[in-house]
Amino acid sequence: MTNELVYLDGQFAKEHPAKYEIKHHTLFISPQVEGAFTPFFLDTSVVAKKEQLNKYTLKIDLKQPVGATLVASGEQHIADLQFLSPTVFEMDSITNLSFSGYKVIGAVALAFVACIVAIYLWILPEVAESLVALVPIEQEAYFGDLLYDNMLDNFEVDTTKTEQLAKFAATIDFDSEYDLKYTVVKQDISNAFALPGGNIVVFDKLLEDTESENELAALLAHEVSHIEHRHSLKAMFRALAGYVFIALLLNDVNGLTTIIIDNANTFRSLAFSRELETDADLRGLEILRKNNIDQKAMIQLLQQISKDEDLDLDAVQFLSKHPVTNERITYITKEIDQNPSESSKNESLQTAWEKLKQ
Amino acid sequence: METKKYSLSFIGKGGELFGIQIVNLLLTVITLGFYYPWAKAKELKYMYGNTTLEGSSFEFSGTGEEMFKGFLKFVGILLGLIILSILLNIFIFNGLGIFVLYAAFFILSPLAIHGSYRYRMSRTKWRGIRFGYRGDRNEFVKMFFKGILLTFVTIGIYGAWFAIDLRNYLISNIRFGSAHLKYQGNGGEYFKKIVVGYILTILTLGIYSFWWQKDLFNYFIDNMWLEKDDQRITFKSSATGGGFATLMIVNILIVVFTLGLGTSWVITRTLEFIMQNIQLEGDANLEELHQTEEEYTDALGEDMADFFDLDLVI
Repeated sequence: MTNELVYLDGQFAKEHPAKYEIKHHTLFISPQVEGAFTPFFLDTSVVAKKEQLNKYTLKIDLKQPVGATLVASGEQHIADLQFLSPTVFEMDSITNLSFSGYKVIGAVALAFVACIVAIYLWILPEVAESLVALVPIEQEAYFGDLLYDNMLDNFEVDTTKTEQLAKFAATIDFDSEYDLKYTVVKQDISNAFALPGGNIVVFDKLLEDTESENELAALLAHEVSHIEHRHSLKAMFRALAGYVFIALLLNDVNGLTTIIIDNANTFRSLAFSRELETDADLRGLEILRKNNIDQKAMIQLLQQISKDEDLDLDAVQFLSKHPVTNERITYITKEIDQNPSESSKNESLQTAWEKLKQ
Repeated sequence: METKKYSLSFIGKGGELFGIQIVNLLLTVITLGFYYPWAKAKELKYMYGNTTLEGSSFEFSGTGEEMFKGFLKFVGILLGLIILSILLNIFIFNGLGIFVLYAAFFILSPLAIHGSYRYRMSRTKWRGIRFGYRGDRNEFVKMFFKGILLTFVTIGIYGAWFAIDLRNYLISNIRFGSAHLKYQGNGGEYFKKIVVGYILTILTLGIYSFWWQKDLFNYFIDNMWLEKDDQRITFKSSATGGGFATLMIVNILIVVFTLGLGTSWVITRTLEFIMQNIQLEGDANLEELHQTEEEYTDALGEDMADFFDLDLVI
């Protein structure tokens, strides 16, 4: 970039090199080639508009003749002119990034990123969760039934035990808005899951593993809590909201980023489902208390299943689940200490359980 | 007259552009989108000002206010259409509204292209000389729908001819003061390049895609020239497949490892690559260009084109 001052007449694209000097305390502009343009005094009164074209170029539109422009280029050159006539050659600071400019921009960028992160971590999940309340129960049940039909294709249903489990569950008061339905499937894994809308699926291996009617009641209480508090929908809404938000933010630049985002979000969903587990554990205890069932059954259930290699209360498997189990036992014990309750032998519960175990 | 080489370059820096874009993004979010026209004007001014021909910057003389007026008109049209479609759904039959909405967008898109060319070109200057777009709206709209129809009937095959027709028309109607740009592409040749490139890209598991990109870029640049009376400046691409490969691979890495924040650097790198690979040479004298084009201030097309995601240079 050359250091120069040129005059453009607005009629032709020919550049007329100009020179400047101070005359009567004002900047005086004249052509380097005699007669190329009419010399003039440059002060703010003849300036129509000025604009910085790039870091090294300043353009000054003149009032007379219309369309005429003076272009100054070169960092040193502009600095000299600024020194001679500060009012005319003052630069706007949009593109003129000095060191302090970078600091401001950096701070703005950081603040922006912080805002985005805050929205993503705290505001977005809340908004997504509150949207769950807008979904009618019938809609949720319809969606849950779709999922149920799809999943059950992979399993063999044990009809006898399914009926017996329903009888067992009927002896417990879950106080639920949902139409709870139970299915027992033949599967050699100690597991159970709850689907949105009221379906609970229990693997028969888990029925074998439970050692008392209270443990089974604790399991059902945990699963019903998932349904009652719409945990599946919440998790789904959160994951979806997070995905849409990041995709919007990055303008979905290319497929690669999408993959990265997708995985990042999965990790968050995992962490979130632990949060939901805690919720289901605590709400499950509430149900046990209400039914006068021994709350410690929840702990026994956890200990029981943690013996098994493949099992967990939910379909989501953690990388290392034993520390998680211990953590759960710790907070459950604490909760029981804070809310002690009377428990009594429930005859009908026991009868139903014995039938199941036959 | 002897021929002369002309230099074209992009001197913008990723850091500077980032400074502009991050502030724009912030203000656009805070103002719920209403800052968008000003943000766009600032960005365009930066891009133009940092593109130089013979050492002189281009200038984007459009303003945020102009584009805001276009933006408001566009929002008005959009709201009108949405209300109309809702009313049609309620009072005539369900589904008609959506159909009408899509049809309206379809009809509006050539108008958007035409409008954005007119506005953008009249706001582009170099050494005080304005560019201009002299395409005829009705002619363009007719051509557009004919092309869409034929593309549809031929299940997409005519698309190559359609794209070249649009290019020939749009670029050949761009004025640069007393000179004008010309583009003369051939649909058949273009179609061949697309098909061959596609097949080779698949056979080489994607590696050829950079050379394919180069072929398409070269086809765009090499068929363009600037004409003034009986003199010309020809455009010639010096881009190579290897050059495109380096550019695009590094761009992808930048985007991935900065989680999108490095997009500004991607833009400046790409523009730098494009400008340095366009060689201009000819006997037309740029200093003799003179002012011929009127100002045109309606920025409606500019905003519509953005909404439809239509690229300015086809």
